[in-house]
Amino acid sequence: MKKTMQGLGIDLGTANLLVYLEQKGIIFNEPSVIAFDRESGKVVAAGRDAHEMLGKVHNKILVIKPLRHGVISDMNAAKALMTYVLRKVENMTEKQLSMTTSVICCPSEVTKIERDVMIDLAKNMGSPDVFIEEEIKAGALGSGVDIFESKGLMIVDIGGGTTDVGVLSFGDIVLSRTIRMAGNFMDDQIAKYIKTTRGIEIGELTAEKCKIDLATLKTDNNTIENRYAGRDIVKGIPRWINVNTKEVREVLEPIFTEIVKLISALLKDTPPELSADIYDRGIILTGGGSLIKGVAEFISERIHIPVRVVENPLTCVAEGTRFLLKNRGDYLVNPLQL
Amino acid sequence: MSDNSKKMAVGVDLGTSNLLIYVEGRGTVFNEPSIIAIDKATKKVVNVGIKAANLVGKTHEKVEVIRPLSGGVIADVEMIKELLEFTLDTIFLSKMDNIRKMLICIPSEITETEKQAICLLGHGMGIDNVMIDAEVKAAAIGNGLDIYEPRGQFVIDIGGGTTDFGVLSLGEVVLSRATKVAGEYFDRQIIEHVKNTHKLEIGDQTAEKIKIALASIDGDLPVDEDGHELTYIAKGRDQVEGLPQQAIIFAHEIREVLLRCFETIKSTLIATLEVTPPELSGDLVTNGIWVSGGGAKILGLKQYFEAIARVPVHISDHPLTAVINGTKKLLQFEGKHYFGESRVGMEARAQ
Repeated sequence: MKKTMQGLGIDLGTANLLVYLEQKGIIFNEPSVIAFDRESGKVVAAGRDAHEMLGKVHNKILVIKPLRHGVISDMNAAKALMTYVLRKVENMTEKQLSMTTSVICCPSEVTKIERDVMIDLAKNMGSPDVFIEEEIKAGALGSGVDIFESKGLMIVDIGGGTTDVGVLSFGDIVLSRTIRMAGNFMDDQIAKYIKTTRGIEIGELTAEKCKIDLATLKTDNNTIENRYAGRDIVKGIPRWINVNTKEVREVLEPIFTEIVKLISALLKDTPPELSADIYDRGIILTGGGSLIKGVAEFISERIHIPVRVVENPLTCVAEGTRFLLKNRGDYLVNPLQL
Repeated sequence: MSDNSKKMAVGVDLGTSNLLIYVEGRGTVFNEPSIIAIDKATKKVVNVGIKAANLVGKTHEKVEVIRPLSGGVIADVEMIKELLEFTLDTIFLSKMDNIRKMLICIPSEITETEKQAICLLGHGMGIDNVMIDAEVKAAAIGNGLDIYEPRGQFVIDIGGGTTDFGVLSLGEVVLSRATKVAGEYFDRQIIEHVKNTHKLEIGDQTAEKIKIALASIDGDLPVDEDGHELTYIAKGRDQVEGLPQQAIIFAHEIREVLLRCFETIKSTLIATLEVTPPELSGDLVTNGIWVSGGGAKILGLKQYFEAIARVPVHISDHPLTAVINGTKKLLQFEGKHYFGESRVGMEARAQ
């Protein structure tokens, strides 16, 4: 009797970790952060609980983000995170893991070595059968687009560590480009802006919260103001500050201008036949960055091509792994018809 | 029932001024000055606690009165052992091996060697399970703060020997600072002041009484029923003539003395806030600062600290017993610092 292999789709993003288990759906969708006890080396918390600890721990706990710019920077932490999640959420033992086929998604422009690290991760976890697929491919599939037609499609994935732009046709990537300007970079820029203009230092979590609350690229809407707490860099005392949407827009605009530049650079390199398709079908936006208000308008105004945000920008990659697990990324087999 | 369950868990607040002992199931059983009087010749303990405190500056040469924790450090390990053994004996009226575990709270700035010394001291008394924890942590718990959340809490403990500043999050001290400007230092400054302006020499006990009666730092000066500024008649020895004499000390004089002392406390507070990670600093805007310890009884402290840090300041309801109340909880937790392990995964959260 042939063993039936259970499919495991992993979207190991810089910001969030999503795990898709065949027959179960998405079983985990939380920040990819893990906290260890320094003395015993035991895992204290993972996901959202660990994320809340960022910048707030004492020296007995170590909080790690195992990924940086879309690739694994701390192998042990990444492995601990994955095994911890699988054991906690699904009670998966090593034996069960040895009967899985895993697909791990990564940004399109990572090197062979970085891909090998991802494969090692799954092997370390005990999953014997692993393959790596590009996030943009999974993202497009997960948002319900048929990429197996011989029709060009452009997808922009604004994630936590990287922004990925790719042109897909006939079930695979024709060309793609990655830059390291995405969610985390925006947080850093917001924190830097507040530090230089207000003289207040804010933490990573607060900067992220500020972005989620206030980020907008719309120029006409009313300004919303919100208050955040940080530390006065001159006096050293804690203080409230008010930040409004206009200021956040000022910070974000240069970043999105860079992203638009990247899109147009890629469009220039796109074969003319595919260009025509993209002109018809437009660009689709995925990833957490596409949740920023007015981002579709911002891009389409500048390159004059329709842009739309997918319905499930945060989970589409994980959902796309469902199809990739069926055809193992083979462009000739259309999993949508299976 | 196992033999272990009969044995007791004990929490000790080993303060410079006061020694407090908590026994599980019996509450706080001892709260007296941490002073010991011994017979010089026989090296036997004469008295501890209040009775020994009454002897300060009043003994003949056969008896020595010792503060074994002078200045918030472990000055005399032998004496601390004597002090603990004597008090525990009087409380239990039984042997030390009745104690299952003991938690000793110490100032946070204490060195590793001193910690080791205290651990050994506990072992020397026949207690296997000796735990050491920071006073600020126990004080925070005693004030009723939930320090096990990932949220910053700031605690100031103005004790006898040291003033401790601590930032806590996730059940542990993130950072702490201490200064030796505390109760004892205030007393010494008051003695200096009375000597210089009234030409009167007073003892430690009198200085402490003046402080307790008149201390204020901000706002209106304390007044009596008639609305007159509060005064204290201090008795001592005239410096010029050498005769017993008395002088009237006004509350505003003590305020000036304290304001000078608090300059150091103020700068240490700011230094601590300066190195607090921004994320935790942000939490303080809402959580504020908690003040405990004997110094928290100084009038106007709330306004004084609020003017410096510009965050809400809370004065502990039971400043003197906050630490010992905290040991109660710490004894149950045994130094664990995080309790969120079971909360992982969307499904688990939804249920």
